[in-house]
Amino acid sequence: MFPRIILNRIFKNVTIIPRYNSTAAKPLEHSDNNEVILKAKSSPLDHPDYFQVHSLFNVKDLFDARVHFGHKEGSLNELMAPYLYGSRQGHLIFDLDVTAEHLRRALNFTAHIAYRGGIICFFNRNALNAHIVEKTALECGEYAHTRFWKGGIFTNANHQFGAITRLPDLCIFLNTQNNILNQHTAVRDCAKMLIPSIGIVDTNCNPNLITYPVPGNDDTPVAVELYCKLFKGAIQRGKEARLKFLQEAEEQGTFA
Amino acid sequence: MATSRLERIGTIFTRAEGLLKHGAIKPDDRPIWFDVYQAFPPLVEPKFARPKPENKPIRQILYKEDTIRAKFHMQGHGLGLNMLSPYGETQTKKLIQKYEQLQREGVQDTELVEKSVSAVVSHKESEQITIKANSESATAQVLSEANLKNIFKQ
Repeated sequence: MFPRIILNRIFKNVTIIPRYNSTAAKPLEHSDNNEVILKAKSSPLDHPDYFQVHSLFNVKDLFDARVHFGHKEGSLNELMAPYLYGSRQGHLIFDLDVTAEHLRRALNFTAHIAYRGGIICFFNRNALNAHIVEKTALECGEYAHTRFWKGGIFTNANHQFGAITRLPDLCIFLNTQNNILNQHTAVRDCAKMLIPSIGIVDTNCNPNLITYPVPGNDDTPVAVELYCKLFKGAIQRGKEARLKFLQEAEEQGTFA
Repeated sequence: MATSRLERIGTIFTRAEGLLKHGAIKPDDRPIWFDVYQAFPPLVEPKFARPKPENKPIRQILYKEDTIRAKFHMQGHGLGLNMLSPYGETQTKKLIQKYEQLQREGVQDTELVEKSVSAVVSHKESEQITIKANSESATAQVLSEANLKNIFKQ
């Protein structure tokens, strides 16, 4: 670990942000003449869509994956009403244009977090979809929690694991409910611990505590498969860009 | 981190911002999502106490051909669905197309349902026959030799 004074000098006005309990590759120091070059390079945050996540899917893909199907009218959470297109014979239908906009924002956020070396954790409590979610997390080198949530994993982590614990930097909920009645406790715990969350919210879910809610069907395996594919794509793009950035910096001899 | 755990107050961003502004965390220690959130904030602020949207009635999705669909369904036609081939056109859609075609040809309204049902069903039967004729596979040969009626008799 660097003394803080050095860190302040090195990382002033550079996109890399130090994290002290990081398990990811530590951003390395660079000499002063190359600092100018790095500064001159514009930050990925200046681009509206630096990782081109808008090209990952189109509305037709969402429709084919049955993302537009909600639950029945009686189970509607009033907060989900603005995301609806209408009701077909009692079955609620999502407006996929709205969903696509929300999903693109969520994917962009995911890619940026991956680019910054953040830890991402997938959540899902539907046994039918648990395997594909875990597989996705494994494939993109991140983490998944698809089992019973023991209370305090986030809020009492240091005590539970017996050591200082690094919590994830982003939680992606493929469904936000434990069962049809209760919200996943991790949604609340993420908000408590200042962890941003992305959640697929169906018509019977509460989107309020989710930082980036994505209105859509969270039950159908085909839909979950699509979400997994998209988030995997976004994470991989972020990680590729990170690797490229680190390699370029190394070639320029910026890293000692 | 020295954060407030009262998730019902403000948003994660306002709470982190407050800590930064008043020096509880140093700018270098800010969470890695902070700049990303600032650059790309969510469309709606993720506040717990967000007011409920005004109570608008849900729009009913109805189509012009629903009246024709109802005519078939009331007599029990076109309700089945072949889940083995979900990408073909459904029985109801075929019926509606036939109905509209016959209507254009000037068939009387009273006979429309009956005629389109018989046309679609006969077409379906002819399809099945063609499938049977094509299936001269090993499986089909085994099946033709097997005595299916007496498989449970010893």
